[in-house]
Amino acid sequence: MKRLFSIIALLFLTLATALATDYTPSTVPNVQLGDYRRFVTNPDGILSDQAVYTLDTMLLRLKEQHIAQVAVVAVGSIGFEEPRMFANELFRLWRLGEAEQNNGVLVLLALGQGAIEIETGYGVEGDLPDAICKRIIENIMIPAFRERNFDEGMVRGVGAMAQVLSTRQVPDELAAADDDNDDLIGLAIFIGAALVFLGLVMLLLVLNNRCPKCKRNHALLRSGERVEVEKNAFQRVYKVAYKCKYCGHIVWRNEVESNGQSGGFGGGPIIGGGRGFGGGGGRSFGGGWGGGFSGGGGAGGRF
Amino acid sequence: MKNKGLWITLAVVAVVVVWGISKYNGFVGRSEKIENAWSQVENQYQRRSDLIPNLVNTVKGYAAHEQTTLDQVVEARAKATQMTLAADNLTPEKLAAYNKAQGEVGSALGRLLAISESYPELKANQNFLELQAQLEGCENRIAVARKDFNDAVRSYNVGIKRFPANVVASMFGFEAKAYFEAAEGSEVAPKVEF
Repeated sequence: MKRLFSIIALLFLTLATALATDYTPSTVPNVQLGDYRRFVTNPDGILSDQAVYTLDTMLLRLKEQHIAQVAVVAVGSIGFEEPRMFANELFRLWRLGEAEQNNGVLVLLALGQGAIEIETGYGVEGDLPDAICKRIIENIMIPAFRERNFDEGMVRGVGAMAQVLSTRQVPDELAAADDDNDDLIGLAIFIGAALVFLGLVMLLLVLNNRCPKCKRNHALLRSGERVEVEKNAFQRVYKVAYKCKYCGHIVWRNEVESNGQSGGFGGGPIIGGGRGFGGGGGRSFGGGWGGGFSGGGGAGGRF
Repeated sequence: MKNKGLWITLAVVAVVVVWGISKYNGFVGRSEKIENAWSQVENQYQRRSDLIPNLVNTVKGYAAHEQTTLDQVVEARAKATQMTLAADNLTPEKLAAYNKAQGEVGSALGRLLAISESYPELKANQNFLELQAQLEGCENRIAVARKDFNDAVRSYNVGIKRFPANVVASMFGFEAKAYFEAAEGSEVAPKVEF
């Protein structure tokens, strides 16, 4: 009797966890809406905070340069839905990409289904054709995912994708495989990719402090001046002036300060002075996707 | 006093006419959406069809004695390309015939990919891999286009059948349109395993 009881209890427990973790397109948190610098939905902690930060940094750059609006979604399970259709529905629900350019891309990792999907908007199908998506998945992501190395697979895979999108060239890593592909070349490619990656991150940091007027780097400094533009029970929104130390040009940026008990967000390890570039702390304004559309382009794979 | 009744009648008639016009325009808009969705369906099938000659040639180089399978693909493609449907003439019979023809292309392609499994050199061929990835993308796009088409038809059909708008619909001859039914083998994209 007792045994039966525990079996039933176990059954309910598994059912409950199954229900709790199966996402539908409408229950996947859309992190971009809360903070314009976030592109990675990682509710189940599949990716490390560090990987999420790296991806966010890379994808913010792509978005701000109007190259592409890329969302990365890594969830535990999507239940019984076909991953391909799930990706398409989620893409359309969030309307990834700028409306006119349709330059959205969705990268979906569903751990329980062992599925990785890249869904491309109409506008990026040319620069990022299905075959390239397939190669990114097959050559970079799946080998890493099979070793449960989700950080590496995702960061390198999305990195390669970012490179294809911004340079419109296929990196060597994804070029047609030669038969005499020995380990040395593989290592060289890996180091090369890592360097490119590091370069991208650094460039982004530099650009963020670049004066838009005189184009000098490391120029913007926070000048105590700020104007309150919005205030409610939870937070105050300020416009903060950043002054160029060379030419005196002033750039206004929005910053949000929460009232009372701050924190609650934060959490993970902070690299390079926190999420908010330019200091100040606190979260900043929510962003949004642009209204793009997808007709099912891209590729998928199982690991 | 007699005038009052007349005015009320006129006002009611005016409201009904305005409502009728707005419904009518709504139906026109929805049926236009169906036409757009249909052209997407045809585009995506065309896209798949364009890949086939290249694919057949690639496979031929490695698996020449699979001639029957190759011929079947070419034949099915030829049959399917002959069939084009105007968006304003999508009768259930014609749609079913179109569906069947495209479904045959799909299953012929499925067989072609299945036999390619037994040719390791073919499977390692970069061109073939590329074509396989493109083909898979095509099948995905076809699935999405078909779903969009059916959604558009559903929204239109529900609109013209719902009371009281169905009165307007029947007055102006809006008829229910046909859905894409799942034909054998066509709903299921040929499984492309690497």
